[in-house]
Amino acid sequence: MQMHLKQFVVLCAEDSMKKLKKLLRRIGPGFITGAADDDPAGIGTYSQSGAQFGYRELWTAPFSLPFMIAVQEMCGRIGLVTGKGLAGVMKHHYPKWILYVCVFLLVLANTINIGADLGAMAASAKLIVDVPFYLLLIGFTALVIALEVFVSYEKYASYLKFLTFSLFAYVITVFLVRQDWSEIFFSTISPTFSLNNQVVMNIVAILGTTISPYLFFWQASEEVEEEVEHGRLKMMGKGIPRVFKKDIRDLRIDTVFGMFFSNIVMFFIMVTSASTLHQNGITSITTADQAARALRPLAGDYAFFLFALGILGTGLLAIPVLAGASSYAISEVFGWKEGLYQKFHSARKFYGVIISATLVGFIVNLTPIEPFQMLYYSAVVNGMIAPVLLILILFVANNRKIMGSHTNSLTSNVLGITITIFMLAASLILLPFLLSNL
Amino acid sequence: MRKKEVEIKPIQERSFRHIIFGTIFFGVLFSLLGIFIWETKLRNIKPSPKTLGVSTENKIVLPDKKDAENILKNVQKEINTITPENITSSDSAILRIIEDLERLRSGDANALETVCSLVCGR
Repeated sequence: MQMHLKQFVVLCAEDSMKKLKKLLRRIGPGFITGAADDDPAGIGTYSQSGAQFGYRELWTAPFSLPFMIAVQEMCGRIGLVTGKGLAGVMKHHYPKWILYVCVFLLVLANTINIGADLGAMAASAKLIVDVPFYLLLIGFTALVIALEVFVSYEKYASYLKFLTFSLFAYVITVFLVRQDWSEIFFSTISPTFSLNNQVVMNIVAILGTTISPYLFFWQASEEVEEEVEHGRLKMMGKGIPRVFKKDIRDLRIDTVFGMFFSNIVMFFIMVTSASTLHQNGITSITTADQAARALRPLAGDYAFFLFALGILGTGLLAIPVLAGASSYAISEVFGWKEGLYQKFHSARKFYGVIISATLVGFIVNLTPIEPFQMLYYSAVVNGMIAPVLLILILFVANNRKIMGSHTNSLTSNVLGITITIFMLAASLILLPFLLSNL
Repeated sequence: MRKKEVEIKPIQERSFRHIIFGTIFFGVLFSLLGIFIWETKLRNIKPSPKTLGVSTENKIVLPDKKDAENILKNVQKEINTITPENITSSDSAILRIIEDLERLRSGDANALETVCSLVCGR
């Protein structure tokens, strides 16, 4: 009897392992994109939201999840079906001015985001080492450029992802602090919306950092890179890959997993900040020190260390994604050889754009804006640029000439159009307020 | 841009109607997500050569019958100089190749039949 039970347990364990392995095989660009979604700008924005509004804006987490999945899947599908990145598709099928406007907006948003991420990394590192901010900034810029050029992203992402586990500190902290669980529950399921400028700006920032332009371009290009890696395409932008129903299904599962984990982390950062910072009267985060205090209940004096670890890990993961997304787009516009699978000497222009984007990001930090405020504003910029790009993505994803039988389904369109209208409306409401404050 | 303090309504003051609205709203939203995730199983997407994505100038050009005949002619010319006696090997793979080459040398089959028997015959 005992023997049978043992065999049964072994069989069950083997079966579970097989299922897990099968699932892990499906994990691809969608999951990495999800991980890159929680960059320092994301952490800063969610922390600011929790600090400023308490639990009130928690509904934005479940609200954004279906939309971010639908949008990312759409972008991934465009790359998968066409064998080209988004800019490559636009170049072949739409007027040049549309392509230039889209790429300009993408590069603008990405450069500000890179700058904000670099600044946040330097400011966070300053919490644990007594080195001048600008010296740290130069050090991180040089380190990021060296890693981008000399180490394959795949290899270094596989190590750096462990640093991002420090983000789970937010999840643990939630359970160490006294929480009003009924308030958390009701705030999560009941959306509140007012035309107050601060509320609108917060929603634009949250949506901008979850549904970000760089993720659109990155995932489409990464799907193509994967096709090249699997030998289904000779090189990026050359040839038409054969796409099956299973590929689309795998893409969806991969995207759902990536976005789900990104969204869970977002939710817990907001709850932690609400229950620690907001409860203690910190309603505006301008410094790394203030943001790190959210982790004090868990790590005490080591909170700064834990916080810095999270910011550094996510920053090092996200900056190559941001710079890479700009570079994919620009390379496709000019027809340069592209791809992170290429060595530096065989795609000098592609890597040249990555280096330039990182250097311009460094220069962004010379403005008088505090690094942690910059994170929030970069999310706002992303949130205002995203709907413009989403309109074009919807056109591409519904174009039978481009997508063949893989055009958007009714549900894809409902989700895609709804979030585009919502983000566009929020941006238009916010625009006069921003212009009057410039 | 200075942040102003925003008056935050405590959740207890939120109306029952508000919570009902939220529940229905998220119910619909996540139902849509569910349909979206599972619809690839329901949708009948058939990969067809006409709908394989972008119709670009980078089409893959496969060799046509004429190209295949030219290739075969060249191969036939080259193998005329080779005989089974030249190759002293008992390896079955080598013998099979020699058989294939012999068949090509005879030249009685057309290009399509030859390619077909070489590719599909195994």
